[in-house]
Amino acid sequence: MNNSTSASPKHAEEQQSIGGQLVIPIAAVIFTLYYFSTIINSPWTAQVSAVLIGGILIFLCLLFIAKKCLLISRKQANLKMTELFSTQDIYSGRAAVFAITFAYIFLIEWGGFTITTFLFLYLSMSVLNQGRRNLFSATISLAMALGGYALFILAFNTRFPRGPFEALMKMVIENGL
Amino acid sequence: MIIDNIINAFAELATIKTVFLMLIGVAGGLVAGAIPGFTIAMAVVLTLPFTFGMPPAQGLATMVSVLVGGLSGGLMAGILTGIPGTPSSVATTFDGFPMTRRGEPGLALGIGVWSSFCGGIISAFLLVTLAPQLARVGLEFNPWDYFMLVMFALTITASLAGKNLVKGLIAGALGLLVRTIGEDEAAGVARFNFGNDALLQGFDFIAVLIGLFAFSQLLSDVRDPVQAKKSLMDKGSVKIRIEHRRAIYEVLKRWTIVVRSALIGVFTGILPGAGGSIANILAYDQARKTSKHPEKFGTGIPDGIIAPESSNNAVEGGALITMMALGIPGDVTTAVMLGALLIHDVVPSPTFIVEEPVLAYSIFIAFFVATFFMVGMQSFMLRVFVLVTRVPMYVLAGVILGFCGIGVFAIQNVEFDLWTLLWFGILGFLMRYFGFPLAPMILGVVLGNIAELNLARAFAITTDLTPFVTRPWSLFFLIVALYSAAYPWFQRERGKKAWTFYYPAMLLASVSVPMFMMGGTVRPTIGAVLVIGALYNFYTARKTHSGSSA
Repeated sequence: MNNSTSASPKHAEEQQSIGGQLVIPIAAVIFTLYYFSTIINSPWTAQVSAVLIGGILIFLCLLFIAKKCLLISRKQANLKMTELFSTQDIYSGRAAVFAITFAYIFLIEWGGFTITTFLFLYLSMSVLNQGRRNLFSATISLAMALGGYALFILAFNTRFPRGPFEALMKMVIENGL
Repeated sequence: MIIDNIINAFAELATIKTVFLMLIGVAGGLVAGAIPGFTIAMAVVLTLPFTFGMPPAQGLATMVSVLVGGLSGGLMAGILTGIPGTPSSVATTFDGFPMTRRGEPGLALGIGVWSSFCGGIISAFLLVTLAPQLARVGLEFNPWDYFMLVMFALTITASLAGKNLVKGLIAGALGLLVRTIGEDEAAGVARFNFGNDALLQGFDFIAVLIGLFAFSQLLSDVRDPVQAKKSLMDKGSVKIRIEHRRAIYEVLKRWTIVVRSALIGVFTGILPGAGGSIANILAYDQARKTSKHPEKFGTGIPDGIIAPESSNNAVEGGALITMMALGIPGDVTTAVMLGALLIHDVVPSPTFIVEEPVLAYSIFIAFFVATFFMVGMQSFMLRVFVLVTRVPMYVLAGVILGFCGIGVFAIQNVEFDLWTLLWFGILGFLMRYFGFPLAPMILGVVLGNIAELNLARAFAITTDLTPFVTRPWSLFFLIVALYSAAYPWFQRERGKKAWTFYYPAMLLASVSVPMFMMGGTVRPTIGAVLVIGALYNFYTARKTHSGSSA
């Protein structure tokens, strides 16, 4: 009795947090099952590779999950998610960089390539440098955004999103100042 | 014929524009390879979108130049700062950095540069001679063989890429699954598209690669706010002149190490999944084991720089051999190169070298020429590297992040690709965080099409499954795939459990079976040699086992 009580805190210390590790296998199983549902009425040739690859993936994921469940049942692991999302992400600006990237992709069609790229670069650098040396960050961002505009829109004439800046520059180039 | 191809390939590449692009490629690769955290694969991936508008030979020559530059760039950071620029130059720091601290950075860099050059040239020579031979073997492959070859490539990558085989296999299967998203090529049926029309074409391969590899790396790198503000090196700490003459003398004096290490590199490169990160350690280890003064390794001796640098540059030649001859990439970097070929409507296969000799030989020649450019540019790029090392990491991260977005968008000018970049970046980040290796997933994404297409072809011929074990090459790949799957356990339990004593003998004996099935004279002879090897191995294992159990 004594042994078990004295051992349990030690066990708790040694336990691995494996909750996070299960995210990918569980998501993979869910996606694979959805995958199977999309091909259920397909011709046999379209099903075969999907069933084979999906079957292997489900088998591997279940094997992985079973191994982890065994660790949990032996009290060698718990389902905690470790520190995947922590305050460190907010301090370091990683969460903000992710949000800025999300906003960039969302706004690029509307704002055009040059303005959104400048804002994206400037905000990313500012966030990572915690608001210091803003002028330096702005200069580099401006140079990159204008360089990208000159190369991809002016020189290569690619279908990069055109926004207010590109429209203004087009007017200036066509009509002169 | 070969001479004609070489001359034609030279003519294809000998334009001012191509040479200029190759020089820029080598320079970019040298800098990219020198920045810790910015891998060669990332540099090649980010170069790819800029090569779309170029003719295939020019685009591929540029990418090969980035690759060659990147392979050598890692040594600059490793020798001068002690932080390896790429995983393939980890062993270079063991002796390179002590030599720098001893006050001989110019010599250390020179030895590194010339060893890289020699390794690159040996591997370029083997590339030109071996790739066409291997392609001839590849002509014998049927759909069953190809499917099994892909399975072998994935299994060995999974077993070598990480500590946990199951995680590696899950990553590989996930890659294959991602590649099947969209319309089925054989029946035209929409699969796994969430009702979204944009997904009917599947995910753009490059957006997936950049997301998984580059974006996820940046998300991992920016976690430490103190690190983000730091630059790689303090100001004014480097004023070096590379000692070429002395370095050449030191390298040539140790030509056996150069040749052996280069061969280790080429062989490691040919094996799918085993890249420069393994080769440089293997070569260093071999050099130490065969040295008369193994105790001096780690103190800053030339042998310790020559071995890893000769091998890591030779790796890509080896990886290109399998990619060009069989269409199977040897590592992540050649996977990207394969993607580049596919984008230029070139499908590498055993017939590729015969059908597209000029393009194939352009790649060989580009690899060769870029190695010369690398030596020429190293001194100049050293100054650029010193400047780059003073740039704070937050600026580098921001600029690379921008390049990722621009690069992905430049491919098809479709906004959806940016979302692909983001989601796969998050997936890649989660995989890194939870210890799922990315290399098998990337290989799965690259090889998914080949696997699916050949499986469909195999089933179109017959629904019978026996050809997978009755066809010699398919059986060969199945056997080596099974053994490579067991390899992590063998490595972990080596000498501790009874079966590990017999594992090599069993492997040799099993592999001899398909060799005998192949017929002819040479292959059964190889089979017989393998059987003799197996018996010898069995005998020595038995002796060792009984000795250890007694």
